[in-house]
Amino acid sequence: MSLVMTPLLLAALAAPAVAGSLRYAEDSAPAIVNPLYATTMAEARVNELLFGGLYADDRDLRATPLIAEGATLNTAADELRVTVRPGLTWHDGKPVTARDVAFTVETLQDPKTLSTEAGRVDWVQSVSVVNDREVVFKLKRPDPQAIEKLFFKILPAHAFASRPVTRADTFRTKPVGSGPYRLARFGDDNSITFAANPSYPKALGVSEIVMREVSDKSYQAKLLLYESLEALVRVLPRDLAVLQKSRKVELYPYQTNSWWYIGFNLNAAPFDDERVRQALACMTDVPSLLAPIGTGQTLSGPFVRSSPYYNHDVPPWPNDATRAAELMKSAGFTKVGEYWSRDGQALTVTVSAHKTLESAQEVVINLQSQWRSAGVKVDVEFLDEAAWKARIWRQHDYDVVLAQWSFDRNEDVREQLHSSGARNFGGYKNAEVDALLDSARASRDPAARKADLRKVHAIVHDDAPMIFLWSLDSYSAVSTKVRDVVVHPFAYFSFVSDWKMP
Amino acid sequence: MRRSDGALVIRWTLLVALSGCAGGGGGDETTPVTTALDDTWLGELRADPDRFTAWVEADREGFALLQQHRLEEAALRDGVPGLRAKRELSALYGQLARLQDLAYDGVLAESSARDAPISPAALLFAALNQHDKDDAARPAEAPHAPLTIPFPAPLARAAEPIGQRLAAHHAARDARDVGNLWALATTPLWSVPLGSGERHLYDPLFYRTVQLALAVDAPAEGPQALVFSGCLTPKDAQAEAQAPMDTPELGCALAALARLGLASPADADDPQSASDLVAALDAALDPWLRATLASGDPGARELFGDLRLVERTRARWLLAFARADLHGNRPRRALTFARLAVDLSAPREVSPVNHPGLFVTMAEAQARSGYHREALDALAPLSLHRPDLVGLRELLGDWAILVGLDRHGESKEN
Repeated sequence: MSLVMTPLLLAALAAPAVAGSLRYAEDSAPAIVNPLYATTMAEARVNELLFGGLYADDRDLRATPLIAEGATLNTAADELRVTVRPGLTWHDGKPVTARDVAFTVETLQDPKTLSTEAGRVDWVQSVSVVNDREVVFKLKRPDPQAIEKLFFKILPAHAFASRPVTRADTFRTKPVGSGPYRLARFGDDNSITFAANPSYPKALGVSEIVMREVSDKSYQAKLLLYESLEALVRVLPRDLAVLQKSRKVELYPYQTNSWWYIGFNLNAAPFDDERVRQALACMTDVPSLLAPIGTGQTLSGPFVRSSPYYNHDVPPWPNDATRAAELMKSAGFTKVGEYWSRDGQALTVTVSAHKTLESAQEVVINLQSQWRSAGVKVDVEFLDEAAWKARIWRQHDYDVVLAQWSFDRNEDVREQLHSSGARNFGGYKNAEVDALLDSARASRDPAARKADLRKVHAIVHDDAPMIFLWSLDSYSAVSTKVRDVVVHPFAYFSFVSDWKMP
Repeated sequence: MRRSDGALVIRWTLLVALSGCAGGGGGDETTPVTTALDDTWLGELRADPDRFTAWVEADREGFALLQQHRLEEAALRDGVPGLRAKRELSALYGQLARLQDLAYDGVLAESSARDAPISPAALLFAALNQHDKDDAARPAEAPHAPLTIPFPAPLARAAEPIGQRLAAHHAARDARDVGNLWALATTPLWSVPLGSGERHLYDPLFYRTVQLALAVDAPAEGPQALVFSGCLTPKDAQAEAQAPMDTPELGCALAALARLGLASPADADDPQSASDLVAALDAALDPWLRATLASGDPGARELFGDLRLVERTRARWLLAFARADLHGNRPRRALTFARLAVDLSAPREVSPVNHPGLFVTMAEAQARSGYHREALDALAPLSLHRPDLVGLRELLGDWAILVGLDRHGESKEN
């Protein structure tokens, strides 16, 4: 990585550091600041700064009360009474109450909210306010460990302008939370500045945090080395060795269980035909796509290789032109000229990628080349955040996406692969997979859960609703000026209240 | 040593097929170069790189394997590289045995706490591991304790093969020869029906057998005992030979700190203190390495650039501190030392800088810090390529699943 920077870029981005100010880079600014609608890691990280849950992870990743003072289950384990911590206030100074807890649960559960996070409270039958500080959850079924599910972010009922709550609520531009940082301002350059919450129960060692949008990861690394940033959330594997040689930077594993994939829209022909999907998988030379990005591990299913659920007996699809041709022919395609055609139409695929997915452009261009040489016409498009959410998530208006999923340590792929999953925008449906996912979630025997999900891995590989590509070595880079850094393996900023900057 | 022997150094570097260049890119270039390393094996090689050839001449291939941390292959060789590899393998498998003990305890504790019934077969294997752990701690002259764990009815047929395997382990430990147990460790010792499939249970005694069977005395003194090690001088190495095998090279690493004028780590489990110590260490080593590489001596450039002797030695010291922190119940700081030791030019590979013990150390530190799923990831560079780690991988996986059993999984894009 060259350390040469253009003066223009330096001038544009090297804003002087404010004492105690930590500047971190995101590839893309959050499209929305509202935990009800968070779908990206960038949004989740901002939510971690602004909002709190009833419970949160402590440094040993054990559930510990945060907004809650405590919680007690009745003997039948079907009723959970939660007490809100006294004296806690929202960023606007109003007290956090039990009504806010009930409002959050009911809003998440309201189908009109269209929250992508509704599944986080699907275990709650009802919620009722006892008084300002006490709220009672009625559970759908007994659950002795129900407090483990109290991690969803609590929202201030008074701060929402409309009922039912919608994505367009003004809350998105004026978010109010109870987390360690409050929103100070949105910048014209898409930056977001967060100021330390003076009412936070714990003294904070970083007075200000600034999220800067820098879509080019190589520039992110340069800015860090030039001390124009203090943290990079995720470093490209190819930059790791260079950053490690700098004594101004420490690298921390950021162990989101993330994998890249090529996802098909199964509601659109010809991708509703598994033979076409399998053929495209056989036309894909995954190691060659990965090489420009750096080191990573190729995958054959919806888990990273270190996962207890990864099925090591399932090999990735081979890059096999002969097999691809057989599959295309069996799906009714014939080679006309240089392209596969059916009913007089050449197979044309539009590959859509989020414009800020790290190195997606290189991957898409290489994929286009691979598929074209295998007889498929390929168009590519790079969508901004708003278009991505609208076209892919809501309208399902696409052929193929290149994208990445990140999972916490539970690696629960139900939302992606179950026919009722909130993140299954590709429309994948397989009754056996549904049953296995349900069985895995219900099982309390780790061996049984592993067996179920390894079967899911095998079936999904064969069904090929996605071509599973790779997981990358994931590290965060933080300036050595920042001390006592601990990076949460998924939420990143969970322990930011321990970080210090002189 | 004749100057023409420098050619051997070049051939050596080709033999071991190393890549990459020296680190230490940061730091203040005006920092004075320490003289504290001058009378160490690193200093000797800096002053006269040709000595290296003489040091490794007795078994160049063995030293190449040792340098690359290909310990199983190196352990098959006679002479110093073989002895050193056996000692390192013994320590490595001792770590694996300890991690396995930790995982069994964790699985039992989480199963109980979360009302997640543990299968009789899994309980039986946990009991077998505990029996072996207790037996291994008996006085050397005492006979092996008889296997008295109860076999519930559905597992009665397992008593014979398990008894036979236990006897094979005892024989291997007594004979100091692991033999065909290497191969047996990669397949289940017992399987029981589980739904439409099977629950596989792997031999829990294997890691301890390798640890005990390969525990050999330290090699004789001399440069052959020092090169590629974390011990800088014969005196350090001599003291090390008397030290416990479970914190290898700790004495040498502490001696190195003292030599460089740095204080030993305190007893607190404070990750920042590890970062600060490593920064101070790098501030001492970087100028020395830079000056060496700039010296114009091609032999020195070969040794210190291609073989990365300084980075390698630094990594061994950090690994020693990390292992010691685990023994001292300071897992967070252990994790920091281990994290800072990893060569990120190939973070998932055992390499001349990345000792296999580094990955086990990180896994144990993660597991002890509550990062059970992350422990699996830390272990992955070893477990994905070492079939005998399959049992440990499954056990750690069970532990990670149990810990997250009641959580709602979260996922996001990008």
